Amino acid sequence: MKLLRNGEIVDMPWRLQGADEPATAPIAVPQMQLVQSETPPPSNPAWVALVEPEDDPVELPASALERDAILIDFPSFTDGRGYSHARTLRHELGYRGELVAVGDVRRDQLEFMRLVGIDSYQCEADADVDDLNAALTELRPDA
Amino acid sequence: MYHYPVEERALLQRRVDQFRGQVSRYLDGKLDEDEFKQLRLRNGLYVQRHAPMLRVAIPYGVLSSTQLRTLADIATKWDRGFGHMTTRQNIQYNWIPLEDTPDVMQALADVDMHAIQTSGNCIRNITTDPLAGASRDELEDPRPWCELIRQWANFHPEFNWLPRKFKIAVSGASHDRAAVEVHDIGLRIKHNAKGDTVFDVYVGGGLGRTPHIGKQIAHALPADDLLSYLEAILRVYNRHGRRDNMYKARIKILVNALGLATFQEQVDAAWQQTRQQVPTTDHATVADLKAQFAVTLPARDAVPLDALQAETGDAFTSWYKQNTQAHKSPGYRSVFISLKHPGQPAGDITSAQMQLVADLSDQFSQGELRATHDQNLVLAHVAEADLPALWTALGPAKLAYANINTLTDMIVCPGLDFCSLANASSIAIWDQINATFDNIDYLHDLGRITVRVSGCMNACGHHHVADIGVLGVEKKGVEWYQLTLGGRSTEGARIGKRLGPAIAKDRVAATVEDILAVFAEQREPDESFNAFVERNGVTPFKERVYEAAA
Ligand code: SF4
Repeated sequence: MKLLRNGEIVDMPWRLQGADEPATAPIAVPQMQLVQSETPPPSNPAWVALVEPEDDPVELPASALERDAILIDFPSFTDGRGYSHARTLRHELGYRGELVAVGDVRRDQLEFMRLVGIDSYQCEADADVDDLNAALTELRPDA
Repeated sequence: MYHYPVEERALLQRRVDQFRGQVSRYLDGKLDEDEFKQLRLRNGLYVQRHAPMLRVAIPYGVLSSTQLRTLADIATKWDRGFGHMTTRQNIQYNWIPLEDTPDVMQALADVDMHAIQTSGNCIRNITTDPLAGASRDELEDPRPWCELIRQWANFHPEFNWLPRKFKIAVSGASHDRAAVEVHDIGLRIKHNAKGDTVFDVYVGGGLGRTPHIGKQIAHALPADDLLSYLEAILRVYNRHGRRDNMYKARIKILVNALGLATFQEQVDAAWQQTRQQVPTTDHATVADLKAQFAVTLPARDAVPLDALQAETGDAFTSWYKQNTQAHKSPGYRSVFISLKHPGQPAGDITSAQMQLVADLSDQFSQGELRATHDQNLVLAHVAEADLPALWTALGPAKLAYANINTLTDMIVCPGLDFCSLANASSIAIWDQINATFDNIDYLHDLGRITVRVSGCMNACGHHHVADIGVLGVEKKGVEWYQLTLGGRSTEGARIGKRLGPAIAKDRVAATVEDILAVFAEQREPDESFNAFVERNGVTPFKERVYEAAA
């Protein structure tokens, strides 16, 4: 699984559920699991939170906001809840780490994801990196 | 007249280029059907029964003569020589080939027009009073606020994938001609004690399968907070609106499920957040917009009807009484151009008619015109002395039919003839009613009566808020029509009451005749149809209609 990050296509650095990333990669833990378990996951192996559409990011445990990244799940490209989650993370929770869009993330969605504060985007291994980068600034290059 | 600033123009051009890219990727097989569908919808492009349908935005219904000429040219060059005005003050074309749509978008962008968010689950065209800036009962011109909201809503990154479509209307007059109570969000402009602009905010109104009248969620919202408050409502809706069932996905369902108080609490909580993030209203921008929307009319002498009549005759008089309205400036009137001429589909306008209206608006109305919510056009600022000349020019083009606000000024959805969702024909009912009620004097005697027809429960014809609503239903492959009475969309909006069992297709106009006969016999002097139904309910009509059928 690949990620568009800082203008380049890199390997997905986190292990998503059921994905084929190496066992040493930090694991992405769904918010629901983080909230339900009494103790947050141990830091070894490292983990990041995965916010799903039904979640309210305001309820994330403080430990999740201390991690370098938070993943936002877009199970379908027509489900726009993740955009509001990104805004909440940035503006209400003041999260300054990396926000990552995972799931059904498509070229023509990238710009609006960028505009709500998302930094990195799941993509296909054979994606055209120049085209993806161009997609990020098609409408509002100055915003 | 207002024109887009350079940044908006540049944005429009980038949108055209982006759309051209999307169409070419689709035609090259690089974009799948589902994804392209969602992208084209956000550019107003549907696939209908016969061909793609392109819906072009007319923001808050205001057009320049240049823009109308472009719409006429598009109809001639790419369509079959006509367009169809919609109830969201937009225009639709029905036959434009997909490959040509990027060129159409370019032609539109060249005159500051577009099809942004005219369909899809996003914030749609902002609608308002077609007499904005001209009517006597206006407190404040709503168009600067509409434009501010349009700029905020177009390409809003957070709200492009809502649970369902989202419609906003703004009214700035004491009489609500924008139907704000039947919109997802309705805004009514008020002035507070200090004379500052504030907004009463209604939420959760809407028609469709489960009609609801909007509930007032905020009183006297300061203008400073307008966009942050809208953003808060949209955020709550985006997060919590239902996404599992498209028929329960509109904000009205959420507001009703939570109850207004709980919904309001959630909006207030979200507002704490959006207030930090969305800048307060920039009053310099608003002042600039106000200045651009305002027209300076040359002083003209008031000319009473008697004097005008002397040079024209009775037909002119009835057109004057029915199709023109008082203007806030002495010596001027606002003129409605009816697109409901019998024999022409309701709301359709040909290229030649568009060209003529564009020329007449240059000649008589400051080069500006309006599309109305009930699918007509308005020349808002016509000098009284020019009315006979205007009327004379409109007549031969079938544009001076004096039926505004009468029974035959109907809203008719495309129905079975064009729409793949339809249960029944709407146009057949339009033809039937026109054939039955062809005496214009009788229509004038009846006074203001709205008739609206929808070909299925989706209610695009807004039948719920008509005096006489007609809904097409299908039973065992046969078309039937369900009638409702006494609805209204103006202040104090109401959903019409069901008359009784559905009526056979060939009896719809006859049933309307029965209903009107009851009204004529039993009304108080000068009582409107709407007031009559409010006073009596549907019982007197029921007796006549179903007794006749039995
Ligand atoms: S009301 Fe139904 S038939 Fe009429 S246009 Fe809407 S979806 Fe089509």
